[in-house]
Amino acid sequence: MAEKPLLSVRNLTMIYKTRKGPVSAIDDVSFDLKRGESLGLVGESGCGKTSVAMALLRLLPDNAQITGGQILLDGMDLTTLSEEEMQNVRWKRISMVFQAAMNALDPVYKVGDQIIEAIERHERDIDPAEARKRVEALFHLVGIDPKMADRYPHEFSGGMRQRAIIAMALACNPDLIIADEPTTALDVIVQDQVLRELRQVQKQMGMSMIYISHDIAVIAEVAERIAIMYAGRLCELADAVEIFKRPRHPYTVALMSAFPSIVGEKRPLVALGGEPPDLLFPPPGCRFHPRCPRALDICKQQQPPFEDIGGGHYLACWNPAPVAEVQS
Amino acid sequence: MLKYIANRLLQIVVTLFVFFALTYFILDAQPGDITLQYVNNPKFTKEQREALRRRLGLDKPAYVRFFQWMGNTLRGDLGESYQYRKPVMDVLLERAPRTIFLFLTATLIEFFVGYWLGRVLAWQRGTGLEYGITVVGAFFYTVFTPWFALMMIYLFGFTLKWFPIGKFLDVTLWRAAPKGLTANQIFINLLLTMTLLAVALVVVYYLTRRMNPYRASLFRWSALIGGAAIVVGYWAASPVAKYAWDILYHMALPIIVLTLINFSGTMLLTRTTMLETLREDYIMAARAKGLPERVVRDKHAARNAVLPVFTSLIISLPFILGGGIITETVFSWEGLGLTLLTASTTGDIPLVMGSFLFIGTLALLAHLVADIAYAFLDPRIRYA
Repeated sequence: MAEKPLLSVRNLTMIYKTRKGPVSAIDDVSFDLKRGESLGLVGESGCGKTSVAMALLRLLPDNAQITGGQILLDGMDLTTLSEEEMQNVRWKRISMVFQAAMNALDPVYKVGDQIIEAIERHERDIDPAEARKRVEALFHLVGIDPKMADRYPHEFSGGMRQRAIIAMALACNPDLIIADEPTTALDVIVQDQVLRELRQVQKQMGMSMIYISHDIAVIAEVAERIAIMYAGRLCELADAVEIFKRPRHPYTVALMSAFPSIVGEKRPLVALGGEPPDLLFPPPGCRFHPRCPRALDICKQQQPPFEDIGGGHYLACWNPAPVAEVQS
Repeated sequence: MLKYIANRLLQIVVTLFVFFALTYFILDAQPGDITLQYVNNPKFTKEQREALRRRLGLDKPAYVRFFQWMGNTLRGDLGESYQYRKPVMDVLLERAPRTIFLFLTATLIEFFVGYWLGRVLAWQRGTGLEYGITVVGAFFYTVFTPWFALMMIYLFGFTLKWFPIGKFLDVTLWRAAPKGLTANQIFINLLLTMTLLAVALVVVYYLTRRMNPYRASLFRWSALIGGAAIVVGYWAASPVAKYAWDILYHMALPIIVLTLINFSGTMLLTRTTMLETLREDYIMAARAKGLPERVVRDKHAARNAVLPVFTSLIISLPFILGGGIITETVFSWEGLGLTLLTASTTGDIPLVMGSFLFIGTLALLAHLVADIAYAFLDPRIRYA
């Protein structure tokens, strides 16, 4: 790798301690993110996508524990920082666009003040008038009337709130923005606008981005590379085009055949049978094997390594699907 | 907003009328009347009793008397107390300040303690501290008030002699008091200084709300400590310091008892709402912004959790005005509550109605003020 990655997640493993025992929410997850790159993280509900996001910001609930691995941001391991040091990283280096924008704004403070609060936290000496100006510029950038900075969250529509949240995420000019289901709560039209703006702003400002979604169609629009997550593990990671044209992991293949293509030929949609495993008792070997149509004996015993199979296409599978099985 | 207030005032008038009518007829439905207290006197003949009843107007039907009372009240005349043989207004003006001062102080302390502890409980969720305080709180919440108050008097007043046993002043000390000085003046002045301090603190809070949290809390604490110092200094330097201190000393035990009995309701309420607030996404967002835990807790979580606590404070306002009858009885604190109790058991109808007029009007106005204040606390609320 020629360029040093901005973010490098190495064998990250995290559990939730519950009364019934440890739940293996993230297991041996590794990926790199270059400066200015956008990565999509796709998986069904409960596969650990949001846990990864929360682990990056170290905002996990009390019962969560990172049991192994490293999160290197410019070579600095976030897992070893103290809480105070981590507070300086939050928002300044890594910020976040929240899943439920409806509720991510405190109802009793003006939206502008909530953004100024973040700016003042990280730039102690900033002049209030300058902070205020920056908020107005950000509002302008995301397409909200700057006057709205003096309004309360309940006076914003859903799309405006999501834009305000994006403006807030940009406030400290972070290196990385994590967008966790940034548009799930919005209707399709607004969703599309917001995504496009987000993508544009990210390119303009040259920041890295991690998009998290269960909707691979949304991810396809914004991400340069896509990582597929299943039951706490990454199963495939490659360029967006590569993932769509040449998916190799049977789970990715299943995902692709579960959503319709507009330009391709008509074909029946195939739903994947079974349910994701209970992560209290994850299946041995490959976690996908109970549902996998291509499962071999080895899949039940040994975890497949997550390896580069060429050209930055990472795959964790003992029996990958042949190339070009899916056309879309 | 003005229209809303006008509307509410009209509602208050209607409510008060219904309230007075109900209390009047319920009072009248009690068997016997004020003349009963002379019945055991052999010199009090049946004819004399009838004459007395006629003189007090008790021979007329209740509805006639009610409308007469209503008319007099509207003209500003509350009538004369049967027991005390002086105008009801004088009795009330004498009794109200001591009740308001005691119960307002106790309520403020109780809410402050409850709110503060509730916040700690929510923040320390699942720890031994949380369970410990919750169990203690539940004990005080459910304890039988008169028993508990009497036990506290027995322990701290009688056995340990730390606090006086009853009443709100020491008679031997007050006998030497300068001429013209009444306990009421002291009560009213204490109330005034307390109100001034409260207004000053609210102003400071309002002015500092835009500052960054560190500077704001610095300002607020210095305002609190400075303000308290000025108040204490003013009173210590005043010539009546000795007498004010005597009153405060007599107030200590009732306040401790009231606080212990009432704080846990506020505490458990704060804990519950705070735990709900902590699950909100904006708390996660506040943390993600890199804000220190203390700021997340105080500026975001507690600020939102205060709304229902404030509502419960509003609901307890009539209690401040009416006084706790039980507490006043146990501590022989001759305030409104005790007055109301003796007046209604002896059939002193003018005094009962006067007390209710006072309590009811102030309670309803307080609700109105609280509702208006709520609009400032929660921007989502708008009165159209």
